[in-house]
Amino acid sequence: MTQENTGAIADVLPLGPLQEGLLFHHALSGGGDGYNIQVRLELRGPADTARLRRAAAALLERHPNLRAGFLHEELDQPVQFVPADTDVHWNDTDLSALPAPERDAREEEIADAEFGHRFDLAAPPLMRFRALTAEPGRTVLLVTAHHVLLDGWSLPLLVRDLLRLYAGTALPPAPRYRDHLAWLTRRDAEADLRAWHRALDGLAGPTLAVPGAGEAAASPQRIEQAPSVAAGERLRALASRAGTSVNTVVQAVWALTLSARTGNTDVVFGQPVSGRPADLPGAQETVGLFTNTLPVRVRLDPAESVAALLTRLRLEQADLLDHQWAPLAAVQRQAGHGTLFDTLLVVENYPLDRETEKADHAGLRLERVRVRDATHYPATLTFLPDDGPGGAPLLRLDHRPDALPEPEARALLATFTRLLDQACADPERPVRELDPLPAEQHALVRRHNDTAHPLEHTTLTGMLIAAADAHADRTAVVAEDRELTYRELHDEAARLAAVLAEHGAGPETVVAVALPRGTDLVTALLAAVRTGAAYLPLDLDHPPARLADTAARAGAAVLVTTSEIHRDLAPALAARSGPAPRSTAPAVVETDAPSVRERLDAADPLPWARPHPDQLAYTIFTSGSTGRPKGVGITHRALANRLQWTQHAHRLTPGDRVAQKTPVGFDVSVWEFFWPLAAGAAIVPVRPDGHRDPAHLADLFARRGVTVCHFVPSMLRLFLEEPTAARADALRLVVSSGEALPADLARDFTRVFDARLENLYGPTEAAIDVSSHPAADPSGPGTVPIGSPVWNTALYVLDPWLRPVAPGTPGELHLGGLQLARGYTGRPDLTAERFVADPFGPPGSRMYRTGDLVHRWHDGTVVYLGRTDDQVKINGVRVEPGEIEAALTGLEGVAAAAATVSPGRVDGYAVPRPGHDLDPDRLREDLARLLPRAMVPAAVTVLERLPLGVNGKLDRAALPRPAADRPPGRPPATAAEKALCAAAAELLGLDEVAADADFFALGGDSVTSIRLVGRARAAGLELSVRDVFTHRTPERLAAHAALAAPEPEPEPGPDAFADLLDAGEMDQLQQLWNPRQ
Amino acid sequence: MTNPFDDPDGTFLVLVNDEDQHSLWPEFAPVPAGWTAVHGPTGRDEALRYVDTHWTDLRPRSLREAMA
Repeated sequence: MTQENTGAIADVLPLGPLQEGLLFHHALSGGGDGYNIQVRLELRGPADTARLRRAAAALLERHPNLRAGFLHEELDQPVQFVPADTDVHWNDTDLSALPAPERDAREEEIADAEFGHRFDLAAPPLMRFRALTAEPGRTVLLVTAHHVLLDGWSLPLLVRDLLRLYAGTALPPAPRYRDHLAWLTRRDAEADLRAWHRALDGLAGPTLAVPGAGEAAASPQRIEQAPSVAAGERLRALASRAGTSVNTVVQAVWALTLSARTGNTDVVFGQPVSGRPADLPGAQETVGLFTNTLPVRVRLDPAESVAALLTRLRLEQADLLDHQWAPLAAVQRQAGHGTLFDTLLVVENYPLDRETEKADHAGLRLERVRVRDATHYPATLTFLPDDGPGGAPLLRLDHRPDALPEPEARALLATFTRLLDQACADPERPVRELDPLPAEQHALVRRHNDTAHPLEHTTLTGMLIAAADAHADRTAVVAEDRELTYRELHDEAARLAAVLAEHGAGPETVVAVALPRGTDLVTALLAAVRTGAAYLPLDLDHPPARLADTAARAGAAVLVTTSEIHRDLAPALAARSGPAPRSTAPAVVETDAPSVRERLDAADPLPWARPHPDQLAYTIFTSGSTGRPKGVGITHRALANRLQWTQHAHRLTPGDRVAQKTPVGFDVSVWEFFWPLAAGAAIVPVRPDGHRDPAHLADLFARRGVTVCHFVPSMLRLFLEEPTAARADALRLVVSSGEALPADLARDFTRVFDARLENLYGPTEAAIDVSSHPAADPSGPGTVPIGSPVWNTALYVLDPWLRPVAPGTPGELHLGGLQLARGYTGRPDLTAERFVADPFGPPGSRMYRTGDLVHRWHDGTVVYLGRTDDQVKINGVRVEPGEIEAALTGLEGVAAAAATVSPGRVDGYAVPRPGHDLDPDRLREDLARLLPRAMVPAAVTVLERLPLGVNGKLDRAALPRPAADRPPGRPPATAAEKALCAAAAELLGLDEVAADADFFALGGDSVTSIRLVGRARAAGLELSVRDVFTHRTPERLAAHAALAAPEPEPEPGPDAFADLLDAGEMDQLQQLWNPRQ
Repeated sequence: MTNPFDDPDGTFLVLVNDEDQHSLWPEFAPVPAGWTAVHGPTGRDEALRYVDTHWTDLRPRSLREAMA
């Protein structure tokens, strides 16, 4: 239907808070967001459609705001304008000739099509009427409007007025929406925002039930559930006992539900408020968009009772009652976390108007009213206190099926009802004891962790002895210069063990080994184990000071090394000896010293020491967040379990050749040495540095027929990119661990190799690996799961209250079982906080907190998601920013320090002590003497102070990018850039904005982006809000605008009206609204 | 997500099992079977200080006894 447009504008108004938000969504969606509301009236009686149409027109005359259109482009602030024209968008269709089933289908079709109409907010009317004559005496009237015009509370008023106008009833003047907008401008917006600042203070982050769901408006799907009448009574009883409303109870239980789904204990969700001010006469009777959606924040304390939580919640919210007109965008901007929530809670229905329903309107009677509403939230829970059967409550979950599929929506609703039942049953229970999980999920975890398996050997020693006897004449080591049989290898090791024992090595001692990769290293490790000592591998890539510190802190009794390496280490060893924990330096055995060679030749082989299964087999130091590396002591039993599980899972035979390529400081090397030596297979050592050279690896693997090897995923990718890699065609098993294994990498692997790829996972603290998952042919994007537990091992995915989480919910991975380390060498405090009591295992057992964030699939399979802390891995090696920071802070003249670690790059930041000048290069050189190469910052930036976040902690994200890496902000060059930079600076309250600065990084948001577009258009730059989100910097926006067609110069309009806009802007508005004039 | 063991403002117990192994433990959670509270409720730092002074040998008791 065409709209004759006279161009006259009757009124220009500002926007209410939610209107601004809706306009933003509209602009972002590129127009046509589908955010509609529809009321469907079924009318009985002989309807006169022409008269209905006149009633609709009279309705729009009576409520001018229902005729409004919305503009933001070329304006300083968005406005709504009311055309003088009251013509109505009307259609009527006669379906009465159709047979009943077809007619009903057609009626639904038309209702759907009307509801799906995409309004252009700049082209009113934004309300459409469609009358369907279903059968004689039954008429369906569909009123469909963009939500920006009116809220659900307005609908009964609208229906009442429409029917009275039809009946010709004289109506008193309608209260004006305009008065509400005027009332809004008189409010103290600052006070509102201050109240919300207090309410959201300290919030750690948003609560997103469906992260990444986006904000697409959609017609939701609906599931409903009716608790019993008795349940409704218990709920009311609980509310009255706690002195709160039913709303508060439902809020608390929804918060607990979201907590169970997200793992957050400080929860936010949205709740619409009516927004009709009590002190504005007629507000309850006004048609328009009053409602506002605001956050409800619920901080959960595990020990607090349900009843106490309700009381606290009521008190916290009382402070906010007077502040429900703050725009959500401003509230969220102030909280500083972006979008705060993605779920809504609605606790009440639109007020029903029984009178309108019953009355006769010139022969018409309202038989049924149905309301439909679009949403951009993935989930909206509506609690209708007595709409269920027999006055029971009714629970309704409207969910966006694209974001929250029905099974998940049902699970969410089930969690809510489970928690509601428990909360009502015993309000004195601490909230932690309410169990959101159904019994079958607890059972699933138990099944997944049912890994008990007897061990043939409880020590590494036992395994090595058995293999040495069974495979004496088989090849044990294939080095570049020589091959050794098991007999030869063990004979050498037994004699070296005798020498080590002479120097003090034995059970409960530590033998440090500082040797390059090769046969001698294998011999030395075997010798150490033979004496009954734990071995301490020293990675020669680390600086001498760190190695000496490690040896001293481990309390090494003996150091096995070469004369050349000893020369490098000696000064550091001398400097480190003296203070506690060990006052004497280790006895040094140089394997190449003539005296030692003589002793080796003469020594009698040392018989195997038989360690207790709980004695340590090795100690490995890993990066520590508290500033120093931590020594992890692994027992024989733990390692024996790990090796026997692998042998069961991937059976090595004497024909296998296993590459030893991993640096000894990384615990993967442990199985590269001892799995083949326990199975009769051969070790193929990779030359020092060869592990970083894909071509060398391909050549070596091909020449030596390597069948099994390990790759950290980042190195596996480089290896696959090596053109000669496919020559290593004897490979049958490649083990990946140390980092998340990308699924696309696993797919690439299967294209190059006909071999099994296995993804293993585990921290050093639990004997190398605790879980595995086959990586062949992974489907979809993301990473290969870390899988299922190894023998005698349990994986627990726990929430912040140490409760198992539901499948799909992120939680921190905790490990139980045989493979846990004894603890951290010399650090009972660190041990007691990481290795903690296990509530799920046998009495008195411990579990290890990994700091890894994971979730489970529905079959129990565990998937790695990220870290709960700052720890980062570089090529599989753990790097704690805290350790780098501690080293930096320890340097002279440094008062405070920070470090950031991103893939491939470490950066350091230092604040000088008063009176000190810091030289960044010098700091970097000093760090290189203290830290492993991977942890030395690429650059150190000297700062006056460190940026702190709202909680007073270091805000790593706010650290500047290092100078060397950061192009200086480029001043705007072209006229377009100048206009955009100036507009951005003004909107963001900054002195200036560089042409290459990111608008959002500087604080831009939805509202300011709309305004930026308005100013850009005023300057003749063709941009949309979507463009701002896509292109982000004035430079790229200017370039983008240059590609778009230039707009014709606007002609001045004929009239000037209104109080809101200046004459020029009014002209532009006129022009936009009526371009044909 | 924050682990309750890392909460600097939390209230903690120190637990010990039959092997003399020590564990920090948040007060809000029930003490697991086989463990006994020997210190607290107290602040995190104080609980860890207690551990540092009272758990001087990380070897489990059964191992110590087997070695003796």
